[in-house]
Amino acid sequence: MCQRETRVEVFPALARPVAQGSSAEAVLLEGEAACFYHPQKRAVVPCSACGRFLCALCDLEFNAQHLCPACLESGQRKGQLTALDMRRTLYDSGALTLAVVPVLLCWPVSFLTAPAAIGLAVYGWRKPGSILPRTRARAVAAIALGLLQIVGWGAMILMYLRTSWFLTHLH
Amino acid sequence: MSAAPTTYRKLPGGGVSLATTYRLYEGPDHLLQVCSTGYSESYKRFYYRDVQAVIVQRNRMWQLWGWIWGGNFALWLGGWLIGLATMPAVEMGYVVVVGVLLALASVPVLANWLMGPTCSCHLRTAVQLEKLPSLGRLRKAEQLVARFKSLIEAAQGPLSPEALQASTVPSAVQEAPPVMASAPVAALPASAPPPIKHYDGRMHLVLCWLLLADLPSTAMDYLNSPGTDVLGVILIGATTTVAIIAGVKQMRTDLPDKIKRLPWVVLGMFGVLIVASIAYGIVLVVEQGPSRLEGLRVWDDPILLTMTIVSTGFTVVLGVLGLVWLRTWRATAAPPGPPPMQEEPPAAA
Repeated sequence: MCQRETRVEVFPALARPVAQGSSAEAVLLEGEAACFYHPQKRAVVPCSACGRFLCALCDLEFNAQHLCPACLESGQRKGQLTALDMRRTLYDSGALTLAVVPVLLCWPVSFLTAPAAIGLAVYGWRKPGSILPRTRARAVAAIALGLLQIVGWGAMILMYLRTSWFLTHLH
Repeated sequence: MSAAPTTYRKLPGGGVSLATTYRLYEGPDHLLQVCSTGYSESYKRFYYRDVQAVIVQRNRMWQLWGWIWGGNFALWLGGWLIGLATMPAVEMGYVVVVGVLLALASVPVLANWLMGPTCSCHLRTAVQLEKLPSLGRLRKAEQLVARFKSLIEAAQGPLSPEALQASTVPSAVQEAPPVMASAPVAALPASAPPPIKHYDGRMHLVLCWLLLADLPSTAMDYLNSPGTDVLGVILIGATTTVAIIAGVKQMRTDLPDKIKRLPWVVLGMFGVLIVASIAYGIVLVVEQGPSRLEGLRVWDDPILLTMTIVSTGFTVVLGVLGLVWLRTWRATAAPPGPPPMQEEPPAAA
């Protein structure tokens, strides 16, 4: 025993028995509405998204809606059900890092990373970001910094070309 | 199908592990734990209606960090006092620089003291026992647990004594909280964490001896023995490698927490030392030119000497502490045997 001071707050859910899964009832009468996925089972509710009839086994109650497993899976995949999201990629943070860090550590690399930062910010613009409140400031800053670096590179290349041997002899 | 976006309120407290941060957010019907790497976030939701218990257990991390940061501060203080005492012999710059470093060393000591005792906080539902890494300080955890209590009771209602008695949990919750915290009262199903393995801490033992080897290596350096530079680099490389291996091997093992922290403290200390050495080297080059670094020995420069004494003192203290902890733990811990046979339920009184 560790003998450490411990505080435990318990709640009524502790006394609640673990919920048992419901089982669907079989179709008894001919012409009775049957489940789309289990034709032998009696339908109890239509899917709120696709309208298919569902038995008690297929009925997934979520956010005060009744969904079938296919709609629930597709909603999660498309990011329409934020309450099911387990993970989000923060493209704007990645883009901002790409726009800032190479300039500070190894600026010649910014020739490649500046367009990449803009690309990542644009790619992530319409993607679902964090589920927490967050502005687009990072993405905007990444695009602005990336553009600034590209303009800088353009100016450097232009200056080099103007003073190069090639241009001198061309004129 | 899409629902309105949930609004979250950030809760105080935050936890940091190697490359991730943890924060808690209060939602309308659930608590959201966000684990962020900076480029991605992963979420865990704990619905108020499902929370069975919140467990806050005080731990000794506060004291451990107090000793580590306090020891570091004491070493810098010693160096500064020696500088003051031998003022004519050393330059004013030494006293100022060590004074600044001393002030910096006092920051974590004060921060640790001000934040108060540490704890580990767990949240239990019917199917999981999850650690809340963002609640690492007792004061903050107690404030938040009081807040959780009101939210959870709003969703579930208050727990009556009859319901508590009637629950599957025996009187363990009321009578012996430590038992509850260390051994969950009901069997946790599939999502429970994987079993803890036994590990004898062999890599930690090697790490401790490598840390202690820094003392003769530094002594040889003082004596200008040939090849000490190469030996020092090999020693640092070996210690770093062993610390990383030990850090990986200790995962999900029964090694005590204080021994598990040893590799990370060593790596952190090496990081700080390397950064400080580079910064001081740059200062020397800027002030006195690159020739200053040629053939520079620890005796030649009081700051370098202080840094060496501090780092060697720290490694020796860590090495000795690690050996003592390992020895104590190995003497008391025995490898776990096969799981016990199913016990007969106790007869009703």
